[in-house]
Amino acid sequence: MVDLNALMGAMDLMASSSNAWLLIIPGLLIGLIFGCIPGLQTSLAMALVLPATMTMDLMSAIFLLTAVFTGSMFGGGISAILMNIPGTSSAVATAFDGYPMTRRGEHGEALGLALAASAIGTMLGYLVLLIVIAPLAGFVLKLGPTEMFIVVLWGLTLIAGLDSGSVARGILAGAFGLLIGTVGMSSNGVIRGTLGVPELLDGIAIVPAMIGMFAASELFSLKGNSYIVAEGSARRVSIGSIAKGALQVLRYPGVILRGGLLGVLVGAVPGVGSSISNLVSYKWEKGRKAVPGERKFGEGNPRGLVASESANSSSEGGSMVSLFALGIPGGAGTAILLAAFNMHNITGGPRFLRDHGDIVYAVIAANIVQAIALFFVGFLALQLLGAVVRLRMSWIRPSVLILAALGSYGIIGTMQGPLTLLAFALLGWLMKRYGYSVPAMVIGLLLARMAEGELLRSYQISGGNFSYVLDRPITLVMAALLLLSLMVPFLRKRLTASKAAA
Amino acid sequence: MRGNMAQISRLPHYAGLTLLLLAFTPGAVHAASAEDDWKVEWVVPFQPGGGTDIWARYLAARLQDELRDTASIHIRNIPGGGSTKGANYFHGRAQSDGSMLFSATASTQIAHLLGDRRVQYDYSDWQVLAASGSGGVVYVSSETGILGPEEIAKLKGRSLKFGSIGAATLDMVPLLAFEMLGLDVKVVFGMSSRGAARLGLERGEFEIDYQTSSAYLTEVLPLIKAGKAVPLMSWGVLDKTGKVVRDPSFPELPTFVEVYEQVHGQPPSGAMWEAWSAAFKIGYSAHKMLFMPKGTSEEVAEIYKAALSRIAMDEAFQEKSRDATGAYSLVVGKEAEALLKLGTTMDRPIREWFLSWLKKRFEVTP
Amino acid sequence: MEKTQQKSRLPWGDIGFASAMAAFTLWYLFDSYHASSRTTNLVLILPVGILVLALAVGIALRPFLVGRKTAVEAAPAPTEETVADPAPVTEQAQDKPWASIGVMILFAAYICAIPFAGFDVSSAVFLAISLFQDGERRPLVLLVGPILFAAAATLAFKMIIPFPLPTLLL
Repeated sequence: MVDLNALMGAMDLMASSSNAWLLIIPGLLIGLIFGCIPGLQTSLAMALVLPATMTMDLMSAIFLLTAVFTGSMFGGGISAILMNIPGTSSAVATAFDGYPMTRRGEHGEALGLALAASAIGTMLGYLVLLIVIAPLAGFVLKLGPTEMFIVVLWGLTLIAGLDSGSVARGILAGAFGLLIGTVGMSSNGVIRGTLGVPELLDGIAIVPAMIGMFAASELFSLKGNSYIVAEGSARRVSIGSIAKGALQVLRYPGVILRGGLLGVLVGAVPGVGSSISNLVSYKWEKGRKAVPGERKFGEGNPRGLVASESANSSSEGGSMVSLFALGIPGGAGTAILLAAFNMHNITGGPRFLRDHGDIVYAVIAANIVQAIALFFVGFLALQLLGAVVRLRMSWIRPSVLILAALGSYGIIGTMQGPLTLLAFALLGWLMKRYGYSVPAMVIGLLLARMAEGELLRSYQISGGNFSYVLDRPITLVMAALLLLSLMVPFLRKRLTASKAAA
Repeated sequence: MRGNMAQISRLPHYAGLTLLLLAFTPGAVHAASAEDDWKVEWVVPFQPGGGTDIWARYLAARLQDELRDTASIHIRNIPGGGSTKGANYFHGRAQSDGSMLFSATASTQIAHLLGDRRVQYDYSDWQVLAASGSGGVVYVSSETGILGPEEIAKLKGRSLKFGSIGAATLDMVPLLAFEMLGLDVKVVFGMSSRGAARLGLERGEFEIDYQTSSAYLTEVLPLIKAGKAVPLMSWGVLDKTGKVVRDPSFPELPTFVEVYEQVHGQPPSGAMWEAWSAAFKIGYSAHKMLFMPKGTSEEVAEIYKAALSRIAMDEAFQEKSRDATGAYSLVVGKEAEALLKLGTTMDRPIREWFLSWLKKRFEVTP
Repeated sequence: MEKTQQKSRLPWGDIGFASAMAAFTLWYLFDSYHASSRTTNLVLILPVGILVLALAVGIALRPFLVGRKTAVEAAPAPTEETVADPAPVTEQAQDKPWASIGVMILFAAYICAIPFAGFDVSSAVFLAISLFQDGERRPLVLLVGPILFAAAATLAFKMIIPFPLPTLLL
């Protein structure tokens, strides 16, 4: 399974460039900062350092870019934990239990836990990649529109797993997000719901919308003279508490392992992988048997935090599958990596793994080293970033809103970004006020374009004939698994109920 | 107040941490920000990693070599709106000091010619610095049972599926060609890229597909060697007299015109043929172009022109780029201007014809 | 929560928001149908739209159907979700939406001012007013803090982002 020749080649490559190793720490830091500022995204951070890699040798370029990637994957979790505002779409589930932990004054532990889970998750992701890249690539190649639609459906069912008080309101929020997400020009060239505004032709700008809803639902409802952490004496970030959190991770080896494996698998799905891997893992963990004496999910259960962070970190490894094995990037981050390869005269394509096995293994090895480095860099950086809890809400609120406005301008390049941010901030506040789940709506919004596109392609390819699906065994298996995953909670409830009755 | 005191006493601690972290961040950031005197921004209207991006980066690296002492060139990817966003950006911002370049592609031209509502740019405000053509190859999945171009008649009456990125794009060329050959092609829209359509064919979702030359060479040839796909025809290239002849990159493949004659027994003619020729010229003769704004000072323009003609004369560069993209040379100066003219003119009646065809056949108004 | 106070009236805000969602959906369905009535255009929009409509109308009508007395309990009161939050800060603000609305109006004004005053000036002013609104009265803090923060943020983003940033002074 592991191509030893290529592995040896990778060792040679890495040994040949001593400069490359020096770039790991700056790369991680850049990624970390971009990740934790709402509105700045992984892809922007990578695009920013891309020109600098032009003059570097190939290994240095790869080291720097993947370090930025790894750093920002973790950075997105920091603002989720400290402020309930996921910095990137892959950290949505991190906020579910991470933020409640912060509110209890356990921010140090939560950050340490997330850091350790991320570092181990990244490492795990790439280790798994090392072994399964070839079979996984074959699987990804087989994902046609019907299979992709099932994946998207699966992502949508995660909405039902979110706590939102009322089930009807949760579903409504998700479906409403799905609907709003289809505004604009469809893949068939039909224009809907734009009111003639040309900026809306490409659809609603998702990142500003997401940041707006999360930021508003949290920031607008906190009082100005308050702190995120109510208890004054707990408003400190000590090395001790971070270390304590990091060590705590050892209590959840199963959670990390499950999260890591799920992350690679789901992360390998092009397009949606990294955004939903954290939710899939979270829901899975939540569905498992409760550990006696632990808090409920959504109230600061460390298991939920670890599940999310280990999965989104290992999804980075998964996202490399389609790049390495098929030569096609599955997301914006890997697209930039491919651009860097091209600048060094290495072209993508279906023979990438065969022709450039040494590079693939070098990337994998580099990331395993980066995961270790992330642990130490994160340790230092967290003490600084964690200081947010020492600030009064009167400072946090306007400054986060300013950063979000700047960031959303940076993504779109026009006032459309900040205006989207504003519109969805108002919407997000209303939703929170009337008991609708903001994460559910964000998931709907994130998946809408893909849901419609894949459904449309399935419809067109099958000619509207449902029997087409019967010829696609993978679709059938995936559909069966989806149904099963929906049934399990009910079955389990039944089982425990009958046990209790007996 | 006590909280504030505590905050202040912790300040040295935070300052120390910040310094420590900053100390770790030397080279990379420096290399990215600190640069020489003349910064040139080269706008690419697509994500990194796509065909246009690769073309631009390849050429930009070479141009940087030429202008090593004068300028530093930075690629800026502004994707969105099928390349119209980047084009609008360039059109709105470019000054006449030569500090901004733009690499356009066939989609930029087609959106402009069809009057896409997102278009705010105008080619008449730009001057072309370099251009290169491309070709395209149509191929089918081997599941069709076809062994080669001579068996194309066997495809008649069979329903073939084709994955398209959209009707009002470069895909007009194959869509019209299929219609002219009388093939029963079911179009599936909304592919994210031509590469996604190729993958669909590999999965057995589509039976017929086309790729531009560079993608054909790197991604389809392996399929053909593995017996999974069979090439049918190339679009051909225009010779000096404006006739379609075999593409020197694929001399063994018949052109669309040859295949049409084989099927119908006579050369193509009529309104649809006029439309096809127009779309073909626009899409392929000037497939990729490099622009700067008109009115750029002579002095600056001359620097670019001289550097690019040195590149165009460099046999090693041309050889290397032909290996990757097919037998199309990078042209500059008058030749590039001629290609620009070919690529950006469409007669009014033909434009009207296209718009009504798109509306009638696909319910699409660009 | 004091129930006696709410028992006497219907949750109008809740009803209004659900109705607004239903109205938007109705318009959106109409607009999409108008753009193209083919299956390819409506394959997702129509079923999802109907689901949204049904749920939103159901939620909007529920307080009327189940009778006034139980209505308040049936519709999840806004604070219910935040009960899980260990700190009670959120609840307080939720009961008095005017503070939040003030923040939102300020934020909206800030966003709308950016094209005219640039990110640098409008951010500084926004931060200063925001601090003042939250009770900060020390003139030095109100003056120096916002200027430093806005300048640092604007300059940093100017360096980072790939687009020119609208600014007035910087």
